[in-house]
Amino acid sequence: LLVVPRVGSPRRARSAARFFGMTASDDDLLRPTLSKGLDVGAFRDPWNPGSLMWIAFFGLVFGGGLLFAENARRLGRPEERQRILIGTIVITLATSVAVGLWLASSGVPTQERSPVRRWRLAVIAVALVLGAWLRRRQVPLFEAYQNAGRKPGRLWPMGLLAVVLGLAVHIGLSALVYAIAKAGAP
Amino acid sequence: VSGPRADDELGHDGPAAARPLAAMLDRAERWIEAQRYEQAASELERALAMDPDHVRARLLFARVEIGRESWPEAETHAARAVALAPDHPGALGMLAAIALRQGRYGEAEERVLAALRVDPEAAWLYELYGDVMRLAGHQDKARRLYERGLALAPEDSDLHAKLALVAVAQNRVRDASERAGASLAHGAEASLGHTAAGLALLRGGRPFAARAALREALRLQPEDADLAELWRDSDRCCRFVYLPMYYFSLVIGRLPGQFWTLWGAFVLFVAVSRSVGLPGKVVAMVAIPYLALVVYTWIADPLVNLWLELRPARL
Repeated sequence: LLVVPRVGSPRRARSAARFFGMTASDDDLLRPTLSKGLDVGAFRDPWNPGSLMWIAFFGLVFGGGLLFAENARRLGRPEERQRILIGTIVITLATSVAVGLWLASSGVPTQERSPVRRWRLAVIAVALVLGAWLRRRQVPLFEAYQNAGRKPGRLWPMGLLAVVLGLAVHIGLSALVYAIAKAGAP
Repeated sequence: VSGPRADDELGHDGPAAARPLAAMLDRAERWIEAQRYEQAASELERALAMDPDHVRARLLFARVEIGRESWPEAETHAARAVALAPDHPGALGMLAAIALRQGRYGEAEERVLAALRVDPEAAWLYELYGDVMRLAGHQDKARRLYERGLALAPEDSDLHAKLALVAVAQNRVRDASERAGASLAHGAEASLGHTAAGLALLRGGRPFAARAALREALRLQPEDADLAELWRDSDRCCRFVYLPMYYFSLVIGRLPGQFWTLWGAFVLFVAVSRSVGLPGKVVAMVAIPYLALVVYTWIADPLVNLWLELRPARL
């Protein structure tokens, strides 16, 4: 689907440009759009950002955030990786502390319609909204990578690890906050 | 996409020496047109033995190497041509096309802009720049560049076809069909026009017609591996076990948030049904089809793969 140029004449081209009185810089269409170093050959087996949404769903904010951060590095954006990691840690702490404190103040319910379920859904919703935002940022680079005829990286071993780690961190932190709050309560 | 040849200004020897060389290069070009790259390469080797600094010979050799998919060699010849004639739009465009094919989008843009500074009226350079933008994910700019190219070369069927590809990427099905139709009107034997028509039909919910169009494209360009894969994809969508998944994907693809929105709506429904006390039967009437759909979306791919193992795709 690409153009393979044939041999043209520079002399004719220059005279045409002079005849039409055009210079390329006059035209906003001819202003550079891409960063000079955009080279998908330097990308290292990025994952499909759409598939990372499943990791955010099962592994919550921490699991999903970790892999989106790693994917940013794989897509040649190391500075974005730092930002995503910091954001992931902050939001994981915030959601886990909120869940822990709320459970401590209301007590862990035992009946069928448990509010714990609502909290879990709320954390999943937060993870999915953040995941959708990050996916939107990473999809263009990933598509550019695929358009160069390259295959995405394999997700499942790291994905599984991220899900387990994400659940462990969220549950562990919430339990820790709950225990501290309970111990401190009169 | 072609430009006039200018042997007089590209060669180094005088007119007498240039004549046999020019004939050799003309022969090489005809071999390239016929995709007989070995014969073209032997002509060009002889030509370069006579004049190693002949820009046109270098560029033709780069085309041969592109045809043989030997990208580093193609780049070596094109870079030599640029070194010999830094303002040659053909040489700069060739180097841009090679960089683009290797995924070096930034460099491809830089090269094609340099070529456009020399020749701002070359439709094929706008087409090439449009390719850079389309593949780098800037569909809107690609569309504007192809339109600029079409203003310069209104009969170019490939430019119409590429506008159709942009419309497909932007989910503008009617526009894509019209552009693909215009492409075929200007070149019924152009593979790209049939490819664009096939993709437009596939996006428009007509998988059987899409498969036929892609089959026609493949007939015109049988050695194109990407096209063969596209045809196999369209054939997959025509399989009975995958048809519901294909239509579901079309619908869900238009929904913001796609599958996750559906999941959110389902969770919301369950939550609301509990709080308003909907009867269990009503909840089950929604939940069971939803769960069946979820399970089907998980197994649709393995199912169709199995089906294709049993009944392989046939052209």
